[in-house]
Amino acid sequence: MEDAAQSTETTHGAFEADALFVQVYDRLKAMAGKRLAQRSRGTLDTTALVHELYLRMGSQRELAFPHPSQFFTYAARAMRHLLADRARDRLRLRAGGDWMRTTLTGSDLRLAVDSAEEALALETALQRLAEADPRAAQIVELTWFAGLSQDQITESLGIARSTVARDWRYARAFLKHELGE
Amino acid sequence: MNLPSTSLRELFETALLLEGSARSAFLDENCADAEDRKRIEGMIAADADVAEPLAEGGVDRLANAIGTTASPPHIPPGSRIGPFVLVEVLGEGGSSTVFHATRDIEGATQHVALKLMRRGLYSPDAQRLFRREQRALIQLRHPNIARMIEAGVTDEALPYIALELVTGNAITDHVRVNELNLRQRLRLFCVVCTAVDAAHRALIVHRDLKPSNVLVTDEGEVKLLDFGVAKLLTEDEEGNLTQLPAFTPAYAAPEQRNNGPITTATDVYALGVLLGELITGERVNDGSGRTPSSWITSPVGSGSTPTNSPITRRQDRGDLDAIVIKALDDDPSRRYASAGSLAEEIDRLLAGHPVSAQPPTRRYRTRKFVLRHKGGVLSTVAFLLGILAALGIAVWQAQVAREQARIAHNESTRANSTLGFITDLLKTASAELPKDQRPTPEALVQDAAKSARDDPNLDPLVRAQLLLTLGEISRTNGDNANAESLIDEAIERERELGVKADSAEWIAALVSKGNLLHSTNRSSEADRLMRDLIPGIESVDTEGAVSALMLYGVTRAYAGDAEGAAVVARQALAKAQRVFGPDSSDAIETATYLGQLCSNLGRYRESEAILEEGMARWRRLGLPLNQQYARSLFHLAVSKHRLGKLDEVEPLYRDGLALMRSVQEGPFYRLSQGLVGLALFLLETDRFDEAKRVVDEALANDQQVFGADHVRTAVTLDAQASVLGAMQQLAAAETAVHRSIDILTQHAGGETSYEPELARARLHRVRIVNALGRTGEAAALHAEAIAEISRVFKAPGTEMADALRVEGEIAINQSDFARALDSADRALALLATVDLPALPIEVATRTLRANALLALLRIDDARVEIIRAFNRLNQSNPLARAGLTHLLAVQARVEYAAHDGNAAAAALGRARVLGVPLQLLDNEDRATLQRE
Repeated sequence: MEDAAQSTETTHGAFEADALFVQVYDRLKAMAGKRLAQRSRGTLDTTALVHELYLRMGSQRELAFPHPSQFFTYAARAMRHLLADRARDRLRLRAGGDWMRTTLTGSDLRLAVDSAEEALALETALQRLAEADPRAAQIVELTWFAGLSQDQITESLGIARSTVARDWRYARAFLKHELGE
Repeated sequence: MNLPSTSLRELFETALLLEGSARSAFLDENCADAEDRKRIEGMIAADADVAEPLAEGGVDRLANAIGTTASPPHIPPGSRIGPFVLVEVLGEGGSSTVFHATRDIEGATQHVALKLMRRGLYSPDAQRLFRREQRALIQLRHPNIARMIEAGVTDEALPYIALELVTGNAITDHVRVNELNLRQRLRLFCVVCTAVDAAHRALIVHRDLKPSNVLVTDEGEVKLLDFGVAKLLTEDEEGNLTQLPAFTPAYAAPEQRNNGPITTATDVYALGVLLGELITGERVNDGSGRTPSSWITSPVGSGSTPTNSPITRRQDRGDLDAIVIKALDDDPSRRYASAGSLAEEIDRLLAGHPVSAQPPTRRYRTRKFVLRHKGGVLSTVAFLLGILAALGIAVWQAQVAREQARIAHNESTRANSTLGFITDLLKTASAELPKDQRPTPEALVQDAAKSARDDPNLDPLVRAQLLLTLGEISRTNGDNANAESLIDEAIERERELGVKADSAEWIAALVSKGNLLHSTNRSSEADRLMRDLIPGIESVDTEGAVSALMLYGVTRAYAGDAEGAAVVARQALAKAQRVFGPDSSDAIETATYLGQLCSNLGRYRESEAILEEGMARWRRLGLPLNQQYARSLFHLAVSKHRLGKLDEVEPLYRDGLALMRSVQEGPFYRLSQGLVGLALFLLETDRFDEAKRVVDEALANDQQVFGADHVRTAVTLDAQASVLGAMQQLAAAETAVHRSIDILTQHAGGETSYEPELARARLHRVRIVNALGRTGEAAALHAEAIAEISRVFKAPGTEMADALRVEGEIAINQSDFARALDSADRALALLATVDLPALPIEVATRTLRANALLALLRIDDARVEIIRAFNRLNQSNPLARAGLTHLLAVQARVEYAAHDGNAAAAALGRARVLGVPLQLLDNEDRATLQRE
């Protein structure tokens, strides 16, 4: 699994090389880091974060997105990478030994590591789905990482409502099967 | 998987539309590959299952559980953290970075190990808890414990800790490299135990003892690092452990891993692991249940280090095994009761005496402790009492009493770390119960008191001391009634036991009682109690005796005996220096306290000298700049102000206020004193608008922290009236002083009736009413006020002089100039007897005299007097331009009366140069200045 997860870093492709994407990623990463550091029990709300960034970027006119859908596509992908990157960091730190031991107790460390492994399994399954059916994978991304509803996705992608529903049903079964294996 | 995706999806979607045998038939026909068939069937089953692929909480749940993995912030050398400058990184931990850092203390460079946390303390509560804990740690002094020098929170809310910089090797490396033999290793271990025991007696638990925290320097000296730091850094807003307590699993006791109550027994467990490691070269608590000695000949597994232990197995077997196993018992109550008893056990072994630890087989047959099962709370309370008994609570009881005495003249504080320890323990004892079933602190104290009374194994004297301790806990919880009955019970039991009058136990009990009496408005009873106690303990040089003297100093001051209070406080200081050493933090704190007392008693020169010396020591020793230090800054400011060293006053107030604000954000009761002092100082230097702002802030602060009807609020209202009066806003000033008098009157009649404040406020009101031109009313009120003053201030002094001055001002308005002159003369005669008369009062009295002389047409005498007043003010406080302008206006009127137009014009010219706005002058002066 470690290997499969590692491969995302090299398969980001042209989309991720886009400067806009890099900016969205960095902004979300900074916002998420701040959110987590702000309180002792920092919590992350992915959807809120993406929407906050959307509002900020809109108000500051700092990034030019011709259509909101493009922003959410970027942001969802960025959040997905963020989660995978953090999961990899967590597992790498565990391997690093003492470094982590003092920050997490036994049970919390176990939970963190389990969650990191779960997140990477999810990432692998999503990649497989993207290979099998890219649009279905994108709909999952927008649902999970940008918090868009099916109606919003319909509107954003400019495809029929029924198509979105069909894609989602397929993706759901595909991922559940992948993760259940 | 190798099928084209469209077919996989098509197959899935078509199969979904079919049911049962039709579906099978369809797949038989269209999907030959067994793996694909399995996959599609799996997906169909997954589709039928209602559960979503990502369980509840979605990706957020994962993101949050993974936690922050941010890499340490890069902080370049030369950056400042608090007062320290970073030199280099010494190490990185999971939650902190350790730097070598320095700071300058009066020309000398102090080197420290500075630990900067990555997680911030954002709420005021979390920061307060951090400071509470930090205070206890800074008090901890032991030659084998690396001293905490300072702790604080950066502007970014990141906590940092500065520790004594120690270079050395982990104890396990030290013994291996130097090939120490078993006896040497055990002796070294005893030193570690003794240091841990000393910290435990101060009720500080290390919580993270491990070889990398137990260093041996090149000189062979043991130094324990990070004592109590784990606790310091894991308090969250509620004061509970956060989800990230810092400890090292390999050395953590079971109760640590299970979030059970952390006690001194937790450190005993870690010491057991360390002992095992020292004698075998391996960690011994791997859960395998092997005896330590079996490690020595066991094959070295992969990844473990060669033991290199010059110890034969035979030596270890038996006694040492039993000792390690006893220390490592899962049940805290079955371990050694203290690190000290572990050390004694090793000593016995070294001396060839039998040890008390029994072979495990026999031990395990005894009953299992029920800590985490039913009856958990009560048994934990009983266990806690056992620990206190083992530590000899008398030691810290005296410390508690001292702490209480030191703060007795102020508010009672909840920040007592030693009591906090017990209270926390009592709380954790019930932490596993559901919230609504947890006993209240009061109930826990009752339970503990009952256990203390009923436990037949307790030494009767220890029992009495425990009751006393529980009384102190009740007091800390604000439950004075229960506190008093427990303290009384302790005193009664000690009396029955025939405890000697100069024993630590007796002194502690009486000081405890005295503090309670004093803080419940029965200061005179406390005074009598101490008066009877003190003569018998003159030759006793203990912490308790210092406490008793300090309390007596306070009660003497409350009784109005300034001389007596100062004498007693000096005795307290001398004793503190003998007991703690002149450079100890305790002695220095006692000194600054004495300085504050002198300032309160109006002995400003003495106060200045004592405070400056004490504070210089304070800084030189790198003691934490805390509330006590800030209070000293305020008192020094008052003394400097009265001593006329006006240049030095404002920075002292400003520094003190900044320090107080760093102690607590937002409204804070300790701000009041500094804000009021600063406002009155600003007033004297003509910075009226600023004075107004500051006094308004003080008032808002006081109303919030004390309440609208509190005495402190009344005092601040009086100060506000002074500011408003000086700004000629007389109606507003009258309202403020009126309100102040109302509040003080409500509090009159009690034991602490604030009579001086009330008498001063009444006189203040007379002055304002007179200035408003209501002369008759002023005269009537003045008769009352002056009677009050002569009653309250038994020895005539500044207050009486001021009262005479106001009497004269009223007489002028009544055109009774002879009487005005008489009043002025009497006031001046009185001021001549006062050591340090307040400058404004002296100047005002001289002005009154000049006015009286002018009205009596003794022009030359009037001129002499007004010029004297002017010179006096101009030399002492040239910034008081409004005051100087007033004096020049009076002088101009004198010159007009002498028909010397040129001299009058010259005075007016000088007055105009001062540029004081006309609205800050009274009507008469304004008219004079506008006269052509």
